[in-house]
Amino acid sequence: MEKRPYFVIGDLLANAFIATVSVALTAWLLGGAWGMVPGMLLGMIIALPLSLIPVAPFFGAMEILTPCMLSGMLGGMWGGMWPLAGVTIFYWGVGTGCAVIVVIYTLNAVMSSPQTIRD
Amino acid sequence: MDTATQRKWDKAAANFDLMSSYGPEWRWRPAKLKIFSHMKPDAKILFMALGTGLDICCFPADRDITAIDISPKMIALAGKRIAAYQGSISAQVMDVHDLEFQPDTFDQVFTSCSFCSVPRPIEGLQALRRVLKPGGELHMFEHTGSRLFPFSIMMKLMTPLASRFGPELDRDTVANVKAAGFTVTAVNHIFIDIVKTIQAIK
Repeated sequence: MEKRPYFVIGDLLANAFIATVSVALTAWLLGGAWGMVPGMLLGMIIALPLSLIPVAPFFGAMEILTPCMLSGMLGGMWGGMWPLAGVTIFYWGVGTGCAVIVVIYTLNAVMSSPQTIRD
Repeated sequence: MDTATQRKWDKAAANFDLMSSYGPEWRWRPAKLKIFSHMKPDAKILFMALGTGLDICCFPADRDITAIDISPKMIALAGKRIAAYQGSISAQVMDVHDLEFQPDTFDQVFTSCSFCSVPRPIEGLQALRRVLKPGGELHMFEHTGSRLFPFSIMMKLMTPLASRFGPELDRDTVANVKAAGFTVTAVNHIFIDIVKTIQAIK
């Protein structure tokens, strides 16, 4: 499991940022009226370029792309389902990003172990 | 020679270090140091997909390494890192599907984030198997698809776009290694079940 502060903090900030942008844009574009699935797809589309260009060169490849895509997808889901506005967008975005990192780190701790044949 | 793949990676060469040299390499460095520590001092080693040579700093010193890459531009950019290595690296432009080495040439083969991009991965792995000596070792550091929901679907959705500029994200490389005739001895997960090291023998 990643323990270096640079990456742990970077993971949290990147995911909180991408989830917040995703909630904001999907809420603005879909207005909470389009539902869950279009919001999730739009969230992923928003997250992909954001996680590739400003984030990946500093914080990693798949280790940052995968959680950021999930954060974008979940952020898009909230924005697609509910007409969020103002500071609520920020709370949902930051909360989603942090929750995704907790899940990813937990999953990673469970799945990583030395010298294990998995297949 | 697969010229379409060669053009793709020649095109990617200019920005390759910008995207990959800092965050990704720093993040992967502990796992790469560990897998490359398996390079034996007296072994004849093939390193596949040298790229711009970002992995060279993780190689142990004083090894005899033959490195190949399909992109001449990547190999040209690797020049300084090759020169700085305290050992022997012979870099050659070669397509893994058309390896020009004699059968049973190498004791060990190492790959690093390459079988996400090889167009016909099983054929490529079979070619590597051919040039390995009997009992020879394959050590891979690769990212693959995931078996976990929702990552499995996300990576399938991202692959058509990602593969236009770089790697495919949904490969089942462990299954490909087995399909190529290798015996897999260890699979270690570095990041969930996406980034992993694979060890196999001929």
